Amino acid sequence: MAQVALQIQLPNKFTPKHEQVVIDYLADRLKGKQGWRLAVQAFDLLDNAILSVGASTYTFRTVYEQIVEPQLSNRYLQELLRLQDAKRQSPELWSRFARQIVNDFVRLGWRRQEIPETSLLLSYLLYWWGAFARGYAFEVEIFRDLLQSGIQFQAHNLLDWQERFSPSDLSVRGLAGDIKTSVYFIYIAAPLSHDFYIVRLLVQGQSYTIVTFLKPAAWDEINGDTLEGDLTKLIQQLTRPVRIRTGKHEFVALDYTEWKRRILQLQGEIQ
Amino acid sequence: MTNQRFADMSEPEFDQLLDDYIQRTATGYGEMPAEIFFDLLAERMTEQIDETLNLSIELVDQNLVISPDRELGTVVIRGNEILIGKHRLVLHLAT
Repeated sequence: MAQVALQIQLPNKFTPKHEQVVIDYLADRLKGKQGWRLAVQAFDLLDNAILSVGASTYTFRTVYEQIVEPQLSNRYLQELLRLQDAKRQSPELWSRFARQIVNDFVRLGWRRQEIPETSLLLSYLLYWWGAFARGYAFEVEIFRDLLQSGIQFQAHNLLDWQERFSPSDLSVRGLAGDIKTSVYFIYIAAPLSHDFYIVRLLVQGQSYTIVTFLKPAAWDEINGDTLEGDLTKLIQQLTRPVRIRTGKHEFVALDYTEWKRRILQLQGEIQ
Repeated sequence: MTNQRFADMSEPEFDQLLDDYIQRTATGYGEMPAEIFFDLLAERMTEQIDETLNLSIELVDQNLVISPDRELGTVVIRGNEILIGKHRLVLHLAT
């Protein structure tokens, strides 16, 4: 089979350091804040890299949004919702789909040793697939936990394409919320457009914690004392609600379990 | 940081890199360490500049027309479309 003509143009601001940090990300060698900052920037810049294949031209972002996600998302979400234990079983599921992305990439003839930028495209697709798949797995985990905890909420339907792109993932007491993994939250963090966010973080490299961030008006609904805090020390202060003021932003952060307890209290289900 | 580039990698090396990456994702959540998350969050929140653009929307011959109260370099408005960076927002009147 004749190889299709393929060319990739990287954005001018994308440097060899960005490429190296993409390799570090894949190899689990990202070091410290500098490494993560550069990695977030690298994948951000790659949004606008251009793939010319045959007579068609795509940005890396449109390759992901128009080719990868439509092909895999519904099937992935259907399988995800069938898992008994989404928290434990979803990593294996999303990695199986990641392998399919690699196989499809090869089948399309896009894997070209002589064009090293094709490796960047494949890395980019895997990164965003990871963000998508992990994000929804976390969402399902939270929806099930809220249900089990007795929290009254409305969630969007993940299998309905339009609802999936609704502005918020869930609503609790009329407040619009979003459920995000830490990596994805960094991309959408400012300005905070929802009333509250539920975010999962890795603590001391081994355990996970879930934090709820609320806009001040959303916190007023709960109406409790807060401790004035510092964003860089927040993880040590989460034993009670912490009010953070940074730049022009202000929000309250508290441990997810404590947030649930306070919502149940508002619902009148516990004293 | 590594000095390695994709061009320096043999095909088996790249395959191994991907294979290890996918294998690792099958056993974890790939979250960012909390201390780095909060540092980056603080940076991004401080960097962000809040600028308000007021939009007026009119119905002209059954078409929505959006008019901004001023020019803002990163936002382009064309008829019923708003272009912000790589995002295109298209407004339609709900029926």
